[in-house]
Amino acid sequence: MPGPNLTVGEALTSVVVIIMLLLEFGLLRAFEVGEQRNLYATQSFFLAIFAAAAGFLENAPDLYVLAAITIILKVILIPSLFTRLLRTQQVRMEIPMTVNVALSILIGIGLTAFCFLSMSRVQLQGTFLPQTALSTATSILLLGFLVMITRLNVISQVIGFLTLENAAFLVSIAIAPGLPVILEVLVIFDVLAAVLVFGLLTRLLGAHLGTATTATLNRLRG
Amino acid sequence: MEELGGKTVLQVLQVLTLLIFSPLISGIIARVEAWLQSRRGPSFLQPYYDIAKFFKKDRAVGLPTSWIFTAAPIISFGCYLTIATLIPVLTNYPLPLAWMGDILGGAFLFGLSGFFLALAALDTASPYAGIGSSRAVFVGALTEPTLIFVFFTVALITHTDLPYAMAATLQSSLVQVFRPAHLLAMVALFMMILVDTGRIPIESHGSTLEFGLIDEGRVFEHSGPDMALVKWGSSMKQFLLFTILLNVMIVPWGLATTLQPAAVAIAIGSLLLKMIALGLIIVAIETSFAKLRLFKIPEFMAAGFLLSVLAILVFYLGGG
Repeated sequence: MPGPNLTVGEALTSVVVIIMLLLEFGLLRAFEVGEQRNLYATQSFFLAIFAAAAGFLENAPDLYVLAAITIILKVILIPSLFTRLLRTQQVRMEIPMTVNVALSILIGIGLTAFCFLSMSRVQLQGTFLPQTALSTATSILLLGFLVMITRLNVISQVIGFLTLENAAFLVSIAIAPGLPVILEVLVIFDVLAAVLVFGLLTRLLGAHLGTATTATLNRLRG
Repeated sequence: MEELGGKTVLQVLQVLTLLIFSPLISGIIARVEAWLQSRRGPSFLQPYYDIAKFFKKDRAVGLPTSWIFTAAPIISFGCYLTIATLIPVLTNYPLPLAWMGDILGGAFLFGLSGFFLALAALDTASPYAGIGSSRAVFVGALTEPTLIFVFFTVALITHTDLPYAMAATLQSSLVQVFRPAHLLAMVALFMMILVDTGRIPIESHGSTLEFGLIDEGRVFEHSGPDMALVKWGSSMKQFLLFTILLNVMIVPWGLATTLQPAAVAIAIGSLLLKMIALGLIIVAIETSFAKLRLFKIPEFMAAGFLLSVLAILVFYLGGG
């Protein structure tokens, strides 16, 4: 039949990857921090599904461990940290935007097109690589940057940063499913450190300025 | 020769299916929606009664109107009848007239019908009909790019632009169903059908509040048999769009493969069942979401556009 050849397994894993990309677009659409937190948790959940699927298709049981760690840390622990932060800090939930939703989604479509066009030139022969994974992961990466640049709330910037890590994780599974688990786990705990640092930043901002937007940070203070 | 005769009968039957069953689907959706909102709701057959009532009434035509106002309902009705010959309503093989036009031909006919209804609304110089007309054109301009990208995706997947080819490709293997490009285009088309049938995120169906009306607002000035044609036409439009979504994009199973009457009966029955299932999904959406404000509509359209563009990118460059 016409069209690129696919197996059902590849098609379904590609669908999982694309859902992650759509959730990243959801971050651009979200109006308040709680919604972004939920989107991040959902994206991480689909990342775990992708890891488990790669483990199943590639016969690599250590990927199941990674999937489990991902669920515990990124679907349960980090979002609940955000929930606590939001409750204790009384930060405003709505996100100040420098670019409105419709325009940022159009910019996002442009970035995605750029990633797909450039990545289609890259000939990578991984053992497990649904062809969409690489382009989609780079799109998630750039969209994560877009979220960090155009949304001025600290917490949504942290979430943008965390989705960058999700994208990196996605690529590492897709290109090298045989990567030692210890390296992957290290990367995940790196993220935990980043969350702690950002949490501290949020608390400091809240304590000194009474706000969670970074818009006022460009003024020098003695 | 005998085969051609059978095919011609089927061709007529396709149009008759559309004429007879389209108000039923509207009636069922309205009734189930009423149930979900703990109302008793109108009878399943209410749309038929409405149409019959309007046919019995006199026609009142505004003085300043031209021939366009009286011709528009007939033209739009005729467009819908023609579309029914182009798409796989009952059979999975092309009938004689299916070669008249491809997917783009069908889209042009939908466009022509909408164009005449919009002109007729402007023709009356009534402010409410005018607002409805300009809104419908505004929304239509936003759905167009998404629909075109969905057609491109179909064309890329099948190398043709015949709706029958898409259905055949889907039936050929399971991979084609789960192909990401296909799923994305399917969801994008579904979103645009919600828009085109005036469903909840965009417009509350059957509401009488003038400020929220888009499609329904255009037809305020029609009366009598004209109104009957417009009402019937709008449920036919819904039936046709559902048929395209179901028989071309989602579940092209159950279509008749032969000329046998039994196969055709099964095709009609399965089509109605599929439509009711889709209707239930739409009812669920209608009762669980709120209507978008008019200025939020472009965001909904941007989401649909995103899905259709991704479908092209994934198919063309991402190997999916």
